[in-house]
Amino acid sequence: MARVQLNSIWKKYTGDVVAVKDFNLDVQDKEFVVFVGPSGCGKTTTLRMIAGLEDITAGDLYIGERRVNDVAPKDRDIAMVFQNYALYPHMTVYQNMAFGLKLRKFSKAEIDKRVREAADILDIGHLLDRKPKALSGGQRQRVALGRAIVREPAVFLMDEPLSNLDAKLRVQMRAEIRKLHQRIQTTVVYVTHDQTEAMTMGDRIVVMRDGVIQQADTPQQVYNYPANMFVAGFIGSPAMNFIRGELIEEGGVITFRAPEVSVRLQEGRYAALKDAGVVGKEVVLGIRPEDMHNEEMYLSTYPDAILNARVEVAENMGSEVYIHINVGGQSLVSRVSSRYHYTPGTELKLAVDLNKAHIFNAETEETIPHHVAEAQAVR
Amino acid sequence: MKTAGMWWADTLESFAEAFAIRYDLVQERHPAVRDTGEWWVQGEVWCVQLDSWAHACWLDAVDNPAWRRVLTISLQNASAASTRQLSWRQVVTRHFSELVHHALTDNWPQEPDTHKLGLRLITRELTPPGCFAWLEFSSQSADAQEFRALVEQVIDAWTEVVFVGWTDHPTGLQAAVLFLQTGHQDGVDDEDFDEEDGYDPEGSEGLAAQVPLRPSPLRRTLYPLLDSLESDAMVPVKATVGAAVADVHDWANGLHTLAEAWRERTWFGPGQLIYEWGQQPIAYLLSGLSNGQMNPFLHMAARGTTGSMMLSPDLADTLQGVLAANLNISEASRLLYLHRNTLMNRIDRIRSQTGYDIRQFNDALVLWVAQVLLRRQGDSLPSSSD
Repeated sequence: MARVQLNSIWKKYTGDVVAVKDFNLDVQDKEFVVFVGPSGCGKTTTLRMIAGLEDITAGDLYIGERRVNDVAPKDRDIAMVFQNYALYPHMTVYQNMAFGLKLRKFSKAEIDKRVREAADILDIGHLLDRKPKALSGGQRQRVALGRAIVREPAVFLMDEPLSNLDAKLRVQMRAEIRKLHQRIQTTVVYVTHDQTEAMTMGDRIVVMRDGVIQQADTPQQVYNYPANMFVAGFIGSPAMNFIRGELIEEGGVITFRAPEVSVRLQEGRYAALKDAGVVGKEVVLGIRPEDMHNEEMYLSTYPDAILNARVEVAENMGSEVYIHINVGGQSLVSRVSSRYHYTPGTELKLAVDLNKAHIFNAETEETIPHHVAEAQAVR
Repeated sequence: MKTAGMWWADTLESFAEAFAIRYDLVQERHPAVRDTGEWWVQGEVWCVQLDSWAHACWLDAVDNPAWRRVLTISLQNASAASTRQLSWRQVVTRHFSELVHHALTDNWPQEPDTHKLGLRLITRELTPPGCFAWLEFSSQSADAQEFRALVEQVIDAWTEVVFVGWTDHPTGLQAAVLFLQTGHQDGVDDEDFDEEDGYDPEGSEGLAAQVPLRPSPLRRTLYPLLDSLESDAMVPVKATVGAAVADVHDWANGLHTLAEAWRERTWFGPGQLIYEWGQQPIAYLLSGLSNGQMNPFLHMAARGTTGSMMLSPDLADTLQGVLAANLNISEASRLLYLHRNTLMNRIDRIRSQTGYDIRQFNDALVLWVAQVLLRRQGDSLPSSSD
């Protein structure tokens, strides 16, 4: 068990741009932290620096109480699981799980004990004599996890371990890995490009872009209070809708205006908006698809925040419908109950839930907090 | 003792060391007229002609004709290189495939352990198609023997990978040369790879990241190997890969392109887990230039330059960043994580040193090409006109 601390970590390849910039993170003992971001954001590089597979250009890395910048990977007390199962095709499951221990010259008895224990945890005891060819994708992934478990490491490092699985199996394995984490109670750092995986698996998620942490917080906080437009757009499916417009103050009332859009903001937000200096300037209104409502209750609650929309496409997902709408020339997506049936061309009104609407500074793309106190806390 | 005229000395010594056999050097003109590399029996001893003034007589058996053939070709290569100033590349491509092909058809026997890559290659059961790869290990344990044994154990666990030998890396570390057989994919199935999301185990870091949606057979072989080296042996590794080898006649080209790719990666893909020859067409184009072709370009490019055309590392990074950002200064400052003013200051320094304003596409391009060529000229590997 171990805490992992990354203090001002930088990675720079000679003749290339900076891959990771001033990365600061404190992963608590037994915590499950997920690095998420688009391809090239530096998440794998950071994981590889924790593993010792990449040199750290600057900064300090601690695993437990020990500074490990110059410690070889084999001495860091970590185990890795990669996207590839990397199973040796001509070895049995038992031999595959034992191989790493054999290389480290563990005794036969110790290897046998560890392999059987790990097989028991993963429920693959009946597969020990099989070769990888005879396993399903999920079983192979379990064996790959088993190869890491037998090391009994202080920290598990997982790099897109589910990316080779089909969608159904991925959902199943997500839960399996979470259960495994609860059972073995070890620190996990997990890398994925899949925001659903990040949201469902992490105690905390670290959203990265261009080598920089954009936000590190619990999934719910990141979803409800994204730090900037990038996070807001990256986390959530369908993605948050963005409408570019202007904040106008008239007669003590602040209104967001864009072509064919006029949304009067709640008074409670005025102080924060003024504090941020965005009144009278260009801003971006962010609304999640589930925060635009067609029900009468919302239309009457938010009479000053109604969008006149025209349906372009309706996607029936079974339990809900994604309606692609056009509002003042902008394409947005709304998520409504499947009891409503819309055909292309239908005109409808949607009320924006102002408690959940976000305002972003159009220039910096940073979120303007709802209240001044929040803004001061962020600073 | 080796002197300037003894061009055959290294070849002779390598051969003797590789096959653990002894020789006597006879430095006198032999009455019979013989060519370099010609063999004859004197008493019961095999002798080989070196030059017109020297021959070697072997004290141990060299009865195998394939062994003798290897030395003949090697001596002829060395002779050609010494007298006609053939480049390393030309020697390899002209003669190596003949050497390999001949050795294979003569059922080459197992030889004693050797680090001489060229000789070792021909004893291995390499079955094309495939390609040569070079594995670099960024850190190694103090015990070199233990380190090698560890790495070889993992490599040997992959049947489609043939360990060829260890070579010295310019950084002073050991590097392993492999042959990756891509003709069959035993145990690595297509369904292992996600059609929709592609395949991106290295995270595509770096400017030149090009990860194919569906990995090539080569990558399907190489990724599991690298992953197992990193997860089982816990050895940090990066791979450079040469051109595809369809049959034994391509072997020389396979090795040659491997060396070229290794040189290219320092500029085109330093952070990438796998760098393949041909991954960057521009690198291919530039790597084909001889000194004779490079020098006029560099001379023209340096006209009007007050300082050195070679940029310091921070200025070279600035150039890379500005190009990566499509000459957009705001984007470049974000990529380089530099304040805009600092970036502008560096751009000004580049202009005052070289005369090139890298905010202009033509200037940035010329300066970038010059950096690649200057770096090539400074490489430890021989260039085509060596």
